[in-house]
Amino acid sequence: MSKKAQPSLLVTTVGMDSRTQHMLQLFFQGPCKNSCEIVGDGTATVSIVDMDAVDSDSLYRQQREKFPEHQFILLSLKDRDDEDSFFVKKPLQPKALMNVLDKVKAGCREELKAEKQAFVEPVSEQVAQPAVTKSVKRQSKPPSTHRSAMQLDEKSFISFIGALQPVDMSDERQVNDAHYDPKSYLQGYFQSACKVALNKNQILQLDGSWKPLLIFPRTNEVWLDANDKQLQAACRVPLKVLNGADPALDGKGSGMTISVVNDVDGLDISDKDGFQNIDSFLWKVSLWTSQGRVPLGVDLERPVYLRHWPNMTRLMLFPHAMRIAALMMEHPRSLMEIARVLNVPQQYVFSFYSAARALGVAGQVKRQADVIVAPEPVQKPKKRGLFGKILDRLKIG
Amino acid sequence: MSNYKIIFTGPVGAGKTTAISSISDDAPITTDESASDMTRERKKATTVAMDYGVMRLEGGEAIHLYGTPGQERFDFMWDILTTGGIGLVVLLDNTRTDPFVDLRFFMDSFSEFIDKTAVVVGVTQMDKNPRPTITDYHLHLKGMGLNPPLFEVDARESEDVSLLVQALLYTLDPGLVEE
Repeated sequence: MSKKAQPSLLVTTVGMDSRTQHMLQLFFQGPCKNSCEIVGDGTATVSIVDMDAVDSDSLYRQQREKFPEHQFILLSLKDRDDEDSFFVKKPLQPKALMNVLDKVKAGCREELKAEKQAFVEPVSEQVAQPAVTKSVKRQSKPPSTHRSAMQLDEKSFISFIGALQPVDMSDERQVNDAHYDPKSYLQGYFQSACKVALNKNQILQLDGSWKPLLIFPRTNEVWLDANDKQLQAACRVPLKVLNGADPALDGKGSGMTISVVNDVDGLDISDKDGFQNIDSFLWKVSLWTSQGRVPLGVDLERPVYLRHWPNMTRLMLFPHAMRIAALMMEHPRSLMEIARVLNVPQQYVFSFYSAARALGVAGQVKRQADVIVAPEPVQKPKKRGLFGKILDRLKIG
Repeated sequence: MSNYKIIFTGPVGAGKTTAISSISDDAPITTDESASDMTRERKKATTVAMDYGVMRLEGGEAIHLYGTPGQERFDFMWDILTTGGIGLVVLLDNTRTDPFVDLRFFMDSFSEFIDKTAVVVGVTQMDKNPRPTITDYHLHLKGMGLNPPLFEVDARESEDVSLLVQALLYTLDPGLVEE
């Protein structure tokens, strides 16, 4: 893409939630140097359609009928070959999307059609392949398990949870929107399979509409043939959409199966980067799936507890996570109260709770009466100024 | 000028000297000498007096970082070291024969100081020996009536050591924000 300033490409989005739209806006402002802009339907010349959204086919058809003059860019985890539209495979690669946008700007639709396969990351063939075949033995412990924490700054974190508004507890719709069902996503099945493997101390394989997951309880690791971008994209897609293209399922059932792996030596897991610590894996899967929400059934106004600190040096850290952990360790408090006491956006607290719960270290007290002593307000210690300076020094250093 | 300290303790070879080096502004002063008797097998040199490092803060203040000697026979120094300390960092070596014995020893030895301040635990060498696990340590600590921040740590990684010290500060004051 040329670095020279280009005339702005006016884009509208279809089937995209506010978070994805926000990420796209950041992408246009950053790597695209404001050469593209998200506008309303009426002024746009290009429609970008998320084909993994619920009812995406119908939304796409309606948009085409309404704006036949638009150029269309389709985004999906699954390969597509639609006439008269461009396709970019998820997880979105900046280079691939920029190339497509360049072509759209240049009006070279025909040229792109011939080239577009080259932009697609070669992921699909891996999905269809069986993960377990006889070949390489695992020789040594992979370095990925012991990587230091990846720390997200405020901007990066907001870009993937979205700039959500605080929940008004008197508005039932807002309260509902702050919840999600992990079982409707890969998260629920990953979490459940890891729990079974650890409890039974058995190596398990989880198969389904996405890539197989191998779980090794003795080393506390999982193996998955996907990078973080691919995993993040898959986590955000509801299972029924992931299963949508599988004619055997016809949109019904989870399509997930779990099996015991007896022949460990025969596993084809030569790619050491595929190994990850179970907790690190579940933590980020939960963050990416929850997107600033909490699992269904969690009462935002009932106290929650943290059994112990998560292993923060090996988890994906986001702003305020350490403060939230420290406050939860003091006393059980409600999620709303934690956000208020620490003066942090509710979605940070919701994210932390969802991730800690996925690891099994957080939960909700059963009844309000279980909190015998009302939590004390956080006192400002005498040394707060000194501690703040130490914190500054540590974060800069 | 303030004279606050953070104390690093733990058995021989747990990474105290390295941890202090990784966050100190100045090259730390160490008083290592050739190890003798029981420590020789674990480390060629061991700290017989103490390690010292410093973090310089805005406004001219400084936080002094002290590492206790690795050998138990120098424990008389620990009372002197902890005076003025704001908290304790315990580093444990997961390759030792029984790291839970070390855990209990250091928690008991510094119990008064921990009661007055706060403690965090870092477990090193988990890449070489993944067991006991972090969960095993939590269970042991629970049995001792303690529930401090406990993280897997590579003492060479300043990020890991920094997070451990941050957890110490947030434990002392969850409402803490950067200045």
